[in-house]
Amino acid sequence: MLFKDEEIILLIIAGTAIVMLLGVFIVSFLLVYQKKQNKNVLEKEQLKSSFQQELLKTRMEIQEETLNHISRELHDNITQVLSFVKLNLGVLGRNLGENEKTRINDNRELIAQSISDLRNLSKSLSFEHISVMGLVKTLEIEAERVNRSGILNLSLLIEGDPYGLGEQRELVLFRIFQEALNNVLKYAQADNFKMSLYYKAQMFNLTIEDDGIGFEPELLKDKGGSGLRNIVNRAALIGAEAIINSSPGNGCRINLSLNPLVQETYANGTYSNSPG
Amino acid sequence: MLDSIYFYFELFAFFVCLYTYKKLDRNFKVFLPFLAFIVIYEFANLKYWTLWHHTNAWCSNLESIIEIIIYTRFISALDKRKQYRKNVRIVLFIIVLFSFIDMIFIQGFFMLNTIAMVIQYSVLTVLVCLYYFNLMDNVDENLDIIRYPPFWATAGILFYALAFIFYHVAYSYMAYKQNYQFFLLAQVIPNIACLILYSLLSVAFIYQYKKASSINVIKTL
Repeated sequence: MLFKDEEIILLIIAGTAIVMLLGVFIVSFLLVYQKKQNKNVLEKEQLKSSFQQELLKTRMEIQEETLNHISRELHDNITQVLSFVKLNLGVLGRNLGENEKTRINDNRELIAQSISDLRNLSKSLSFEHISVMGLVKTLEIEAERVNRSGILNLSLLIEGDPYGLGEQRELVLFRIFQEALNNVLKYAQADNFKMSLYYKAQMFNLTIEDDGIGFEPELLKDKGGSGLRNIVNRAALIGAEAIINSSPGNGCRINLSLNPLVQETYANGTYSNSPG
Repeated sequence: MLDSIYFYFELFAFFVCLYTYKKLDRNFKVFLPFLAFIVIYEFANLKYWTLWHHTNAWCSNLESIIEIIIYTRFISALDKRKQYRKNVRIVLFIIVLFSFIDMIFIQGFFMLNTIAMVIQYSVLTVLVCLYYFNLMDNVDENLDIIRYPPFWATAGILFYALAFIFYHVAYSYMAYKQNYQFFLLAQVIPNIACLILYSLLSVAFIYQYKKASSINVIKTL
């Protein structure tokens, strides 16, 4: 009888140990499963992020190709036609009276002005010119062009010794400037547009400010602020962080900073359609 | 001292719950009155104040019913499915009803209701397994399970229930035969089960407290 009781006790001990081990197995299984799940989610996020990067990069390549095409058309076709028109008007003016001659000359000057504007526009659209002249020079030309138009007072401040950030980065920074300028001209009703470039040893900083009507910060989250989101996305593409601050009546401030020593893989490539 | 070590763990879990109470989830707050009751009940047991007709089995029977109600409601509250919670409530009602039937008609008021207890612990085990299954199925993408308080609390309940199943299956047969070895086992198994349960509950409270604190820090930032 005693032996039987001992057997039962052994059974209780063994049974309890087995079910406890089962419990350990269940808990361990859940932990391992969760760990794997988290790893999968992380990989999925990384894939999604790289896909988004690739998508953005492709979009920018297409955009650059289009802009280059327009730039070439403006330079090689329209400005040539306008030059021809100007030349013809000059020839035509020789056989006319003094009064008509003056009017013809006025028109020739207008055409010359248009040719010059178109050439400048062509330069600002073309990757090649930005690449050859560099970011600072291109921005100076743009500032001069905008100021000459009288629509806006654009001031450009450069601190530190300018250094090359790489063709891709400079192009993206220039496109960000264009996007910001476009926003200001379209919506901000601003009188002044200030752009500052800070070149430090381990940090490049770009600040774009305007004194326009500003906007609700919620606009950044809305679908309506696609131009602003473009700025953030473009900045991310070159490994920079863009911070946009604005409130109604207080204008807008875009701050962008990047480490020039850290080269992003995509920032080293060149666009296949880039002239030159 | 060693044979009542489980009491110190209950006391420890109670104080941890008391300390973290303000930052506990609504679902976890029920543990404070429950642990207070457990501490008082075990203290009364240790002092033999619950002896009636030379037994405290009547008291254990009632305590196990309260235990199953608290744990079942806690586990079901972790699930968002209304129908599931409703089903669990029905199961709970049946178990409690059966426990009273066992107490009154089957094993008696002054005997330990081991049949009801085995069923109670089995149901708790199933509920925890179902919860884990659901957790695997509808897992939150950013869930860090190691720091997830319900995981630790349910793990404690799971081990507690598993440890008691075999013990209670053999209890009726062995205890009333006055087997010495079984009395030794009766000291060890509940001690280990309570030790695991209350330490894991304490871990759950601490993680809940840390989680609430970190959320507060983010809010103030």
